[in-house]
This record gives sequence, C-alpha cells and structure tokens, in this order.
Amino acid sequence: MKFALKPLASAASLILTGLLTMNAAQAGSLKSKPAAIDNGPVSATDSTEVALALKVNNLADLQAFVASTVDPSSPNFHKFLKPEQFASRYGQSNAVVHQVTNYLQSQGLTVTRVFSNNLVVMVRGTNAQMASMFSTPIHSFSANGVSFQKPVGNVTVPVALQGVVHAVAGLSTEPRFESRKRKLPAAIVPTSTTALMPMAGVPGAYTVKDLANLYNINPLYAKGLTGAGKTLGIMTFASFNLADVSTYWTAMGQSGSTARITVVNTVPGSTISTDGDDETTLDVEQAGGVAPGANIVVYEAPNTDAGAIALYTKAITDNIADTLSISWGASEIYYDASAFAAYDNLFLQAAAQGVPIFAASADSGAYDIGNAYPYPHYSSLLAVDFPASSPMVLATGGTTLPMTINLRYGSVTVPTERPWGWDYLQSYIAVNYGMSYYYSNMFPSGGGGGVSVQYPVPSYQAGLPGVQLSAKGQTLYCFSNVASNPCTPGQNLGSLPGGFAGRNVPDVSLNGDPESGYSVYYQGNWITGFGGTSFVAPQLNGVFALISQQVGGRVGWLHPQLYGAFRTQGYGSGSPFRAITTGDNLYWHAWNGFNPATGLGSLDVANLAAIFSH
Amino acid sequence: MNTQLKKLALGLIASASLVSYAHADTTQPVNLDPVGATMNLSGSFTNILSAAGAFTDDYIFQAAPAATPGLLQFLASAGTSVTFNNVSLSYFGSDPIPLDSSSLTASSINAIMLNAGSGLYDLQISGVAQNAGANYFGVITENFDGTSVPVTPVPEPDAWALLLAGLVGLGAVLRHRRAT
Repeated sequence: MKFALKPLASAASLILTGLLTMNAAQAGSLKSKPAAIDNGPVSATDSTEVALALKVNNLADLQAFVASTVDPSSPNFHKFLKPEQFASRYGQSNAVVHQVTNYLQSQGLTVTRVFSNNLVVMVRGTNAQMASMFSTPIHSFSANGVSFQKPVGNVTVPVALQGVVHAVAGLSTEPRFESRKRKLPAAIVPTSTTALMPMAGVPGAYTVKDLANLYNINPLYAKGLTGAGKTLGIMTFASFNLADVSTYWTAMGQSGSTARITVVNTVPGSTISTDGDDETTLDVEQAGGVAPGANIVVYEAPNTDAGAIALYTKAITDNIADTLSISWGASEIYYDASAFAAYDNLFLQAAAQGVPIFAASADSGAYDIGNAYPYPHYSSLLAVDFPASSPMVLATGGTTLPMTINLRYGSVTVPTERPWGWDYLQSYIAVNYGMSYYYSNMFPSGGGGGVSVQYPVPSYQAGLPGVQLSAKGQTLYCFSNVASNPCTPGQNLGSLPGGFAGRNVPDVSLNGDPESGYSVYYQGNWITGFGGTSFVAPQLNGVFALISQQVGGRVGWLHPQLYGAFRTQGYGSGSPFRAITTGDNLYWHAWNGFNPATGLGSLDVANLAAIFSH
Repeated sequence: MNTQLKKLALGLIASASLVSYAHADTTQPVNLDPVGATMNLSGSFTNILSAAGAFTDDYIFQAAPAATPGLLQFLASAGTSVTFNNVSLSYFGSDPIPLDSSSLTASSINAIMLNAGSGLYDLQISGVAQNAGANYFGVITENFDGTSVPVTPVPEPDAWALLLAGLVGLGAVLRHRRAT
C-alpha cells in the first residue's frame, strides 16, 4: 500500500498523482522530462523532517458527530469538543502512537513531535534513512531558481505502519502552494485610478470600509460587534511585516496596535519564506480590518508538504482560533486519495471543535492549472483548487463589482455584480492588443470554481438546482513546447472524468477581481488594483469573527447551515445571499440559483448574522 | 489442415499484412490560432499518405476555453488519389459525438458541430489512398460570431503538393548557394 503526498508542478508529477488516468508507458516517458532539473541523488547524510499522518479512529462516528453539531434538532447542536476530547475519541490511542514512535526510533529516526491530536507524528532522519524506510530514491531538483528534493519513485509505507499511517508528507520539499492573489497586467490598468492610495468607493482601491458598505457589514458594527473576545487564525506560508498592517489599520481609522497579533511558527526552527509575504500582509490587514476587535494568530509554516500538515495540525489542535482561513492552495489534481484523507481528518477535527475554515477558491477561473500548463501550449483543463474543494472547507469565490473601467483605448462597463472572469475584457483586448496578449497575460483569470473530480457531491449540495457534473472532454494534452513546463507536442498527460457528480465550488463569493479590487499597504507603500480570492477568505474570516462574537461561541461547520438557509430563504427578502445572475468564471455561468461560478452568490452580512442569532 | 487450406490461410495472413502495412494512420495535434482581432480560431492539417490503402487519421484539437460554446466546422478536401469514406468527432479518448450536420463525399468533407464546449476533441477522418504520396488537406475553425457558418477557403490538395514541391526546390537552391 502506498501513502504519499505527491510532488507538484511538473508534467511528470501530475501523472504520478493517480488522479489522471494514463498508461505506464506514458508516465515513464514523462518522468525523464520534468520541468525541474534533476540534479541526481540528494546527499545521503543531509537530514529531513517528514510528517506521518495517522488514520482517524472511528471515522464514521466522527462524521456523524460533526453533522450533529450543526443540526438544531440534535442535543449536540453547537456543542463542540475540546482538542483533548477529540484526541481521546478520534485520535489514535497512546498505545498505538507509542508503537509508531517506537518503530520509527528502532529504524534510527528521531521523533521530533507528536501532535496532541494523536494524528500527526513528525520524524527526522537522514535522506538515506528516509529513502530506505519509504523505498524510494530521493533526488535533488532545481526549478526557477529554487532548489528542493523529492522522491523519484513510489513512496511505500513500511508494512509495520501500513495499518495506521494515512500519508507521508515531507519527502518532497518542493514549494507546493501558491497564494491566490492577482494583480493587473499593463493593458488593463485603469487610467483613472493610477494614484497609489486607498480611495473610498473607487473600484480597484477598495478597503475594508468599502467592503462593509458593499456587503452590509455596518449593521454589525452598529451593534458594537468588533470580534472582541474572539480570535481569528490566518494560516500562511510566508512572513509579513507588522508595521504594514499597523499602517493599514490606522488608515482605516482603527487602532494601529499590533498587540493583538501573535505569530506562531508551526515548524519550530524552520525559516519562514518572504516569498508571498504580500499574501500574508493582505490576509492580516483584511481579516483584522473587518474584525478590528478580534485577536489574531498568524500560523506560519515552510511551503512544503510537511510544513502544510504541521500548519493545519498546529492551527487546529491549538484550538485558540475561533475561525481559520487560508489563501494558499494547489489544484486538487496534484493530490492523491491518501493526502486528501490526511487533510480531511484535520478539517473534521476543526469542525468537531466548532471552527470553520475558509479557503480561497483560486484565481484561474474554471481552469485551475491554467497557469502551470498555459493554453494554447497545453489544452485547457477544467479543475478546482484544494483545500477549497474539500467538503469540510468553505470555498470562497470571487466576483466583479459594477463599474466602468477607463482604459487606454476606451472603456469597459460591468453593469452588475458578476462572477470574476476576465472574458468581459476579451473583446477590448482582441481589438486593441490581439488575442495572443489575452492568452499570454490574462488567461486564465477569474474566480476559481467548478466541479471536484475527487469529492462526491456532499449532502448539503445534493439535489440543489444548478449543481453541475464535471465537464466532458477534459484531457491535458501538449500542443507545443513551453519553457516553463516542457512537453512533447502530441503528448497526452491524462484525462479527468466527465459526468462526475462531484462537490461544486465555490460556496459563496465576494468581490475578488483586481479591476474592482483593493488597496493594500505593503513594504511601506500603497498598492492598488490588487485582488484575488485571497481577499475573500480572510474577509469572511473577519466576518465570522464578528458573528462568533454575536453568537457568544463558535459557529461550527458552516456548509449545512448556509445551504440550509439557502434552501429555506433562497434570494428572498432577508436572505443572507445575493443572486449573481449573469456572467461566468470563464466556463461556468451564473444564474438565479447555485452555480459553480459564484456558489450561493454574494452576501448580505447583516442577514447572514441573523441566521446565527437564534 | 490440408495444403490448400494452409495456402489460403497463409494468403489471408499475407494479404492482411499487406493491408496493415498499407495503412497510413496518423494522429496529429492541430493548433487552433486566433483569427485577426476576433475570438474565432482556425487551424489546418494535412496528410501526405506514405502508402496506398485504407487510412484512419485522428486530428486532436482544443475547442477554445470559453464560457460561450463555439461553432466548430471541419472542411477537408481530397487530392486526386484519395477517397474519403467517413468523418466522426469525439471527445479525446471517448465515444463519438453526433455532428449537427455532415456532408461527406469522396473528395470533400464539410461537417459542423454547434455549441461545442471547451474541451479536447478528436476529429477522425477515414478513406482510401490509391498510392503513396496521395494527400488531403483540411481546416478546423471555431466561430463565436453567432450561428453563421464560416466560409474558409481550402487550398486544393494538388496546389498544396505544388507548394510543398516549391518549398523543397527552394531549399535545394539555398543549400546549393551556401555550398558554393
């Protein structure tokens, strides 16, 4: 039995996930031509740390318990577990964990940490020991100036651990996760908003104050709700500068004090990258700006497999944050079943503890791997992002707000809020710059959304009008070579199943288009025209910190509660949801109902809070 | 098995081998490129058959990644030594998709699929070549301008062959000039 978090970002690794169907000969031929340069075997004596994700104990009972916590008719309604209760009921027993750690130590490895949920064990050893234990050579690679290592064979868990270990994370140190933020390419930078500062009411320079106006958050503030007494958690793979955040909040008329922020390195001793620190900066600015009274814990980790497992495990098991968000992700086609199971166990733990998790649905519209495998060099592939595609995570999508954009050769008007998808600029670009510019610089850009081919449609979406099946004809195919990810023309890289009844994402959406986007204060300067679903996840994190304060507790797993409200109220008066009825995210269309472009639509936050008030 | 039957069996095997050898099947990716300042796409393909006999060729192309379905049109024209006998469309690696209209003659193909969603498709063309070097030429277009059928001129195969011959000749002249 094989358990592995698979490596990313190359044609070869894509094949290895097993989600894409293909024959061995094709996979073999691809292994010799990955995007990264294989520098040969790693140093045998260098050490590496990996995370072993253990199977949850009594999964069916855990799932039933989580469902009961958000069922108003259940005695468990909004009664959540403490981490120690979760560990006792659903983690592996101390005896089993000791067996695992004893085995690892008997192989000469050092157990560096056992998380208190009894579901994750961190272990350190030399590369030679890891290669031997998991039966795979490990090679050194370099790509785009980054050096990393990853296994070049199938990872096999030792027989002694196969009954209890779900996944092994960390043999690959390849940076896996991308931040879900987006900026404007030159051709579509408005001529009317070139001033680099926040401007109230100006699309592209919006702030959290505009957000409060646009989505009716102000009634919560009027009630005195600020998130006080609550803690929101930001999970990230990059550091940030406290001074930037302080300046942003001060500009919003809020306290600039950063005393409410705690930063936690979830892999002690590791170095947190600055690559992507604008993501963390905007996450904290937005979440803390929406909930100016909430405490904030910023959980940081290296952008690696082991880092990701440690990040989620620490953030959830600490049980300090009442709400959590992450604006980093990777296409779900890069993961295999064991990895999904390992992460989903952690998400179930969060739900059992009453903590909702918000994840950006990504910024490539319906084509989640379109940046790694750019059209027309590759065929386009409809795919969705993880962790947003997990049924336990609230997928936050992106819209475009009404505006007229004044551009160099004319103006473009968006009459009503629509799914973010830059095809509304396609005609302008085709006439003035040519379609090649569009495909090279602007495609695919839009609110991530579509149909998971990994997760079956969850009960809260079952039978809901507008929920879609996966599209047919989805094969990743090489048409011409491209330096960033080489391939052979005519090469078939695999197919995704059509007609699959999978989980639809996103669940809800807020403004995420950089054209109608936001101001961010970063490295001592204001930046405008900043967007992406990266903004939406921390914004909702802040919104639910407010609602948690109102509730006087935690809100728990949100999906059944939100979809339940939608089935009852639709878009009627007092509904938390606003219909997005026109437009698309480059493939999926919005309509007056659920859709994979915007989910249930955008929000009226005051009405949203009302469904949690009883 | 008596001698006559053995000879028949061997003859069938030999003839089957010959037919198999004569097949000139090909699978080619076809890039569809933007046409001018529009969202329409067009790409061409050709095949110069290496041997006489039946052929079944596959042309793999991507319908534009767009939210609005396009109108796909497939035009092909046979050279004097090629006879078409079938055309079909499918998602790549999947079952055939019904074409909305299809005009097939021995020398030409004009087929249309309305409302083609974004995806990878396989256009399959079958026919018979009378001799090695026989050829045909085709164009795939995707139109987003509405329901009108694009009219794309298709070069005569013989003209295509003439062009190829001209290019080969030009190459020879250039090589000769470099050598001298």
